[in-house]
Amino acid sequence: MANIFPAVWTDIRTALRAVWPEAAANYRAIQVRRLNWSNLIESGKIVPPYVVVHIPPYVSNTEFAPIGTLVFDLDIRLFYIAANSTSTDIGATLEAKMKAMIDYLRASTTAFTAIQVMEDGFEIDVSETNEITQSMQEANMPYTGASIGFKAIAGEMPPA
Amino acid sequence: MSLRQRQRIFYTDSCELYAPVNANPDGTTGAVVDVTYSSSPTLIVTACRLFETTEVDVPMMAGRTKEVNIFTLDKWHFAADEPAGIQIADVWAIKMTTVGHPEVGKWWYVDGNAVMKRLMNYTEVYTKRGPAPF
Repeated sequence: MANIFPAVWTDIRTALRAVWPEAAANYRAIQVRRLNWSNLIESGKIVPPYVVVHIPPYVSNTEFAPIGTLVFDLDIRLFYIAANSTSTDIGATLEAKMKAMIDYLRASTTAFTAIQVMEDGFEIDVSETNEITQSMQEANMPYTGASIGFKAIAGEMPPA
Repeated sequence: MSLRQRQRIFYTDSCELYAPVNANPDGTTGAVVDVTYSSSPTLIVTACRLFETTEVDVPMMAGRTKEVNIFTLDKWHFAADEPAGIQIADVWAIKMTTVGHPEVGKWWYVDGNAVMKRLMNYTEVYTKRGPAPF
Protein backbone atom coordinates (compact mmCIF):
# COMPACT_ATOMS: atom_id res chain seq x y z
CA MET A 1 0.00 0.00 0.00
CA ALA A 2 1.07 3.59 -0.55
CA ASN A 3 3.05 5.46 2.08
CA ILE A 4 0.57 7.72 3.86
CA PHE A 5 3.08 9.75 5.83
CA PRO A 6 4.18 12.28 3.17
CA ALA A 7 0.58 13.42 2.93
CA VAL A 8 0.40 13.68 6.73
CA TRP A 9 3.40 16.00 6.73
CA THR A 10 1.95 17.98 3.84
CA ASP A 11 -1.18 18.63 5.89
CA ILE A 12 0.86 19.68 8.91
CA ARG A 13 3.00 22.05 6.87
CA THR A 14 -0.08 23.48 5.18
CA ALA A 15 -1.42 24.37 8.62
CA LEU A 16 1.92 25.88 9.65
CA ARG A 17 2.07 28.07 6.54
CA ALA A 18 -1.53 29.17 6.89
CA VAL A 19 -1.48 30.10 10.56
CA TRP A 20 2.17 31.03 11.19
CA PRO A 21 3.45 32.41 7.87
CA GLU A 22 6.10 34.44 9.74
CA ALA A 23 7.81 31.15 10.71
CA ALA A 24 9.84 30.66 7.56
CA ALA A 25 11.36 27.34 8.63
CA ASN A 26 9.79 24.30 10.18
CA TYR A 27 11.77 21.27 11.23
CA ARG A 28 11.04 17.74 12.20
CA ALA A 29 12.30 17.07 15.70
CA ILE A 30 14.69 14.42 14.44
CA GLN A 31 16.26 17.01 12.11
CA VAL A 32 16.59 19.98 14.39
CA ARG A 33 18.27 18.04 17.19
CA ARG A 34 21.31 17.72 14.93
CA LEU A 35 21.42 21.47 14.23
CA ASN A 36 22.89 24.10 16.52
CA TRP A 37 20.02 26.55 16.54
CA SER A 38 21.93 29.50 18.00
CA ASN A 39 24.74 29.17 15.47
CA LEU A 40 22.20 29.07 12.67
CA ILE A 41 20.49 32.19 13.97
CA GLU A 42 23.85 33.96 14.33
CA SER A 43 24.71 33.14 10.73
CA GLY A 44 21.26 34.09 9.46
CA LYS A 45 20.40 30.60 8.27
CA ILE A 46 17.42 30.58 10.61
CA VAL A 47 15.43 33.77 11.00
CA PRO A 48 13.21 33.39 14.06
CA PRO A 49 10.49 32.53 14.74
CA TYR A 50 10.79 28.94 13.66
CA VAL A 51 8.79 25.79 14.27
CA VAL A 52 9.66 22.27 15.35
CA VAL A 53 7.18 19.46 14.76
CA HIS A 54 7.32 16.53 17.14
CA ILE A 55 5.32 13.36 16.72
CA PRO A 56 6.10 10.49 19.09
CA PRO A 57 5.95 6.90 17.79
CA TYR A 58 2.87 6.26 15.69
CA VAL A 59 0.61 3.62 17.17
CA SER A 60 -2.06 1.90 15.12
CA ASN A 61 -5.52 1.95 16.61
CA THR A 62 -8.73 0.95 14.87
CA GLU A 63 -11.01 2.43 17.52
CA PHE A 64 -12.20 5.11 15.10
CA ALA A 65 -11.83 3.14 11.89
CA PRO A 66 -13.57 0.38 9.96
CA ILE A 67 -12.39 -3.15 10.46
CA GLY A 68 -9.36 -3.99 8.39
CA THR A 69 -8.02 -0.47 7.99
CA LEU A 70 -4.61 0.61 9.19
CA VAL A 71 -5.09 3.79 11.22
CA PHE A 72 -2.47 5.51 13.29
CA ASP A 73 -2.94 7.69 16.36
CA LEU A 74 -0.79 10.78 16.04
CA ASP A 75 -0.01 12.93 19.09
CA ILE A 76 1.26 15.92 17.19
CA ARG A 77 3.06 18.75 18.98
CA LEU A 78 3.97 21.96 17.22
CA PHE A 79 6.67 24.01 18.94
CA TYR A 80 6.93 27.71 18.12
CA ILE A 81 10.22 29.35 19.06
CA ALA A 82 10.46 33.13 19.10
CA ALA A 83 12.87 35.78 20.30
CA ASN A 84 11.79 37.59 23.47
CA SER A 85 12.35 40.86 21.66
CA THR A 86 9.29 40.02 19.56
CA SER A 87 7.04 41.73 22.11
CA THR A 88 6.92 43.09 25.62
CA ASP A 89 4.85 40.13 26.77
CA ILE A 90 6.15 37.09 24.97
CA GLY A 91 3.82 34.81 26.92
CA ALA A 92 0.74 36.62 25.69
CA THR A 93 2.09 36.68 22.15
CA LEU A 94 2.71 32.95 22.17
CA GLU A 95 -0.70 32.20 23.68
CA ALA A 96 -2.30 34.10 20.83
CA LYS A 97 -0.28 32.10 18.30
CA MET A 98 -1.31 28.82 19.88
CA LYS A 99 -4.97 29.81 19.98
CA ALA A 100 -4.85 30.79 16.32
CA MET A 101 -3.58 27.32 15.45
CA ILE A 102 -6.36 25.65 17.45
CA ASP A 103 -8.93 27.80 15.66
CA TYR A 104 -7.53 26.71 12.31
CA LEU A 105 -7.47 23.03 13.24
CA ARG A 106 -11.07 23.14 14.45
CA ALA A 107 -12.48 25.29 11.66
CA SER A 108 -15.05 23.61 9.46
CA THR A 109 -13.43 25.27 6.47
CA THR A 110 -10.11 23.56 7.09
CA ALA A 111 -9.89 20.50 4.88
CA PHE A 112 -6.96 18.20 5.43
CA THR A 113 -6.33 15.45 2.92
CA ALA A 114 -4.60 12.88 5.08
CA ILE A 115 -5.27 13.59 8.75
CA GLN A 116 -8.40 13.98 10.78
CA VAL A 117 -8.02 16.14 13.86
CA MET A 118 -9.77 14.87 16.94
CA GLU A 119 -12.08 17.47 18.44
CA ASP A 120 -10.81 16.99 21.98
CA GLY A 121 -7.38 16.70 23.52
CA PHE A 122 -5.89 20.07 22.59
CA GLU A 123 -3.07 21.19 24.83
CA ILE A 124 -1.43 24.60 24.91
CA ASP A 125 1.87 24.87 26.77
CA VAL A 126 3.23 28.37 27.29
CA SER A 127 4.62 27.49 30.66
CA GLU A 128 8.11 27.41 32.06
CA THR A 129 8.01 23.60 31.89
CA ASN A 130 7.79 23.65 28.11
CA GLU A 131 10.89 21.73 27.00
CA ILE A 132 12.12 24.52 24.81
CA THR A 133 11.58 27.30 27.33
CA GLN A 134 13.27 25.16 29.97
CA SER A 135 16.39 24.74 27.86
CA MET A 136 16.37 28.41 26.89
CA GLN A 137 16.08 29.54 30.49
CA GLU A 138 18.75 27.14 31.69
CA ALA A 139 21.10 28.53 29.08
CA ASN A 140 19.88 32.10 29.78
CA MET A 141 19.01 32.63 26.13
CA PRO A 142 16.53 35.42 25.22
CA TYR A 143 14.20 33.03 23.42
CA THR A 144 10.98 31.34 24.48
CA GLY A 145 9.03 28.41 23.14
CA ALA A 146 5.40 27.41 23.22
CA SER A 147 3.66 24.33 21.97
CA ILE A 148 0.28 23.15 20.89
CA GLY A 149 -0.54 19.48 21.11
CA PHE A 150 -3.41 17.81 19.37
CA LYS A 151 -4.50 14.34 18.39
CA ALA A 152 -5.08 13.27 14.84
CA ILE A 153 -5.61 10.03 13.03
CA ALA A 154 -4.29 9.03 9.64
CA GLY A 155 -4.57 5.75 7.86
CA GLU A 156 -5.45 3.73 4.83
CA MET A 157 -8.15 1.38 3.65
CA PRO A 158 -7.55 -2.38 3.76
CA PRO A 159 -5.78 -3.91 0.77
CA ALA A 160 -8.07 -4.98 -2.04
CA MET B 1 42.52 53.40 39.86
CA SER B 2 42.42 51.52 36.60
CA LEU B 3 44.29 48.58 35.23
CA ARG B 4 47.40 47.23 36.84
CA GLN B 5 50.47 46.43 34.79
CA ARG B 6 49.47 42.79 34.29
CA GLN B 7 46.01 43.83 33.21
CA ARG B 8 47.31 46.46 30.82
CA ILE B 9 49.21 43.68 29.04
CA PHE B 10 46.48 41.06 28.97
CA TYR B 11 43.21 42.96 28.85
CA THR B 12 43.20 43.26 25.08
CA ASP B 13 39.50 42.70 24.46
CA SER B 14 36.83 45.33 24.19
CA CYS B 15 33.10 44.99 24.49
CA GLU B 16 29.76 46.70 24.96
CA LEU B 17 27.65 45.92 27.99
CA TYR B 18 23.88 45.93 27.84
CA ALA B 19 21.88 46.03 31.05
CA PRO B 20 18.48 44.32 31.06
CA VAL B 21 15.56 46.72 31.11
CA ASN B 22 12.88 45.73 33.60
CA ALA B 23 9.84 47.94 33.34
CA ASN B 24 7.91 49.00 36.43
CA PRO B 25 4.68 47.14 37.19
CA ASP B 26 1.54 48.57 35.73
CA GLY B 27 -0.06 50.75 38.38
CA THR B 28 -3.50 49.27 37.89
CA THR B 29 -2.94 45.59 37.16
CA GLY B 30 0.52 45.03 38.59
CA ALA B 31 1.52 43.32 35.37
CA VAL B 32 5.11 43.61 34.26
CA VAL B 33 6.57 43.37 30.80
CA ASP B 34 9.35 41.03 29.76
CA VAL B 35 13.01 41.84 30.18
CA THR B 36 14.37 43.64 27.15
CA TYR B 37 17.70 45.08 26.07
CA SER B 38 18.10 48.57 24.72
CA SER B 39 19.70 48.82 21.30
CA SER B 40 22.22 51.25 22.83
CA PRO B 41 24.91 49.87 25.15
CA THR B 42 24.86 50.74 28.84
CA LEU B 43 28.65 50.78 29.06
CA ILE B 44 31.47 50.64 26.55
CA VAL B 45 34.55 48.78 27.77
CA THR B 46 37.90 49.23 26.10
CA ALA B 47 39.94 46.84 28.24
CA CYS B 48 38.76 43.47 29.39
CA ARG B 49 39.51 39.85 28.72
CA LEU B 50 37.45 36.91 27.59
CA PHE B 51 38.45 33.45 28.75
CA GLU B 52 36.65 30.93 26.61
CA THR B 53 35.99 27.36 27.60
CA THR B 54 34.93 24.20 25.85
CA GLU B 55 31.64 24.22 23.97
CA VAL B 56 29.50 21.17 24.59
CA ASP B 57 26.15 20.97 22.88
CA VAL B 58 23.36 18.54 23.61
CA PRO B 59 20.32 17.74 21.47
CA MET B 60 17.20 19.48 22.72
CA MET B 61 13.83 20.11 21.17
CA ALA B 62 14.85 23.56 19.93
CA GLY B 63 18.00 22.11 18.37
CA ARG B 64 21.43 21.41 19.74
CA THR B 65 21.76 23.64 22.77
CA LYS B 66 24.83 24.64 24.69
CA GLU B 67 25.19 22.76 27.90
CA VAL B 68 25.59 25.07 30.85
CA ASN B 69 27.90 24.09 33.66
CA ILE B 70 31.00 25.47 35.33
CA PHE B 71 33.22 23.83 32.70
CA THR B 72 31.39 25.29 29.70
CA LEU B 73 30.71 28.83 30.87
CA ASP B 74 33.03 31.47 29.44
CA LYS B 75 34.55 34.07 31.77
CA TRP B 76 34.95 37.79 31.28
CA HIS B 77 37.30 39.80 33.43
CA PHE B 78 36.98 43.55 33.97
CA ALA B 79 39.00 45.91 36.13
CA ALA B 80 37.32 45.77 39.54
CA ASP B 81 36.99 49.45 40.25
CA GLU B 82 35.87 50.64 36.86
CA PRO B 83 32.16 51.09 36.08
CA ALA B 84 31.97 47.83 34.16
CA GLY B 85 33.40 45.82 37.01
CA ILE B 86 31.14 47.48 39.52
CA GLN B 87 27.86 47.38 37.63
CA ILE B 88 27.78 44.20 35.56
CA ALA B 89 25.43 41.59 36.94
CA ASP B 90 23.27 38.61 36.14
CA VAL B 91 21.31 38.69 32.86
CA TRP B 92 23.44 41.48 31.39
CA ALA B 93 24.42 40.99 27.77
CA ILE B 94 27.92 41.44 26.42
CA LYS B 95 28.77 42.13 22.81
CA MET B 96 32.36 41.66 21.76
CA THR B 97 33.90 44.52 19.82
CA THR B 98 37.56 43.46 19.78
CA VAL B 99 38.88 44.45 16.38
CA GLY B 100 40.21 41.46 14.51
CA HIS B 101 38.83 38.90 16.95
CA PRO B 102 37.15 35.96 15.20
CA GLU B 103 34.08 36.43 17.38
CA VAL B 104 33.68 40.16 17.03
CA GLY B 105 29.98 41.02 17.02
CA LYS B 106 28.97 37.91 18.99
CA TRP B 107 26.93 38.03 22.17
CA TRP B 108 27.27 36.53 25.62
CA TYR B 109 24.77 36.47 28.49
CA VAL B 110 25.87 36.78 32.08
CA ASP B 111 24.92 33.85 34.24
CA GLY B 112 24.99 34.79 37.92
CA ASN B 113 26.19 37.98 39.55
CA ALA B 114 29.74 39.25 39.25
CA VAL B 115 32.39 38.24 41.72
CA MET B 116 34.89 40.90 42.64
CA LYS B 117 38.48 40.01 43.48
CA ARG B 118 39.66 43.22 45.10
CA LEU B 119 43.19 41.99 45.81
CA MET B 120 43.71 41.16 42.14
CA ASN B 121 41.69 44.14 40.91
CA TYR B 122 39.30 42.28 38.68
CA THR B 123 35.64 41.44 38.50
CA GLU B 124 34.68 38.13 36.99
CA VAL B 125 31.42 37.06 35.40
CA TYR B 126 30.47 33.74 33.90
CA THR B 127 28.69 33.93 30.58
CA LYS B 128 27.19 31.79 27.86
CA ARG B 129 27.38 32.66 24.20
CA GLY B 130 24.10 33.04 22.38
CA PRO B 131 22.32 34.81 19.53
CA ALA B 132 21.77 38.55 19.53
CA PRO B 133 18.93 39.75 21.77
CA PHE B 134 17.47 42.01 19.08
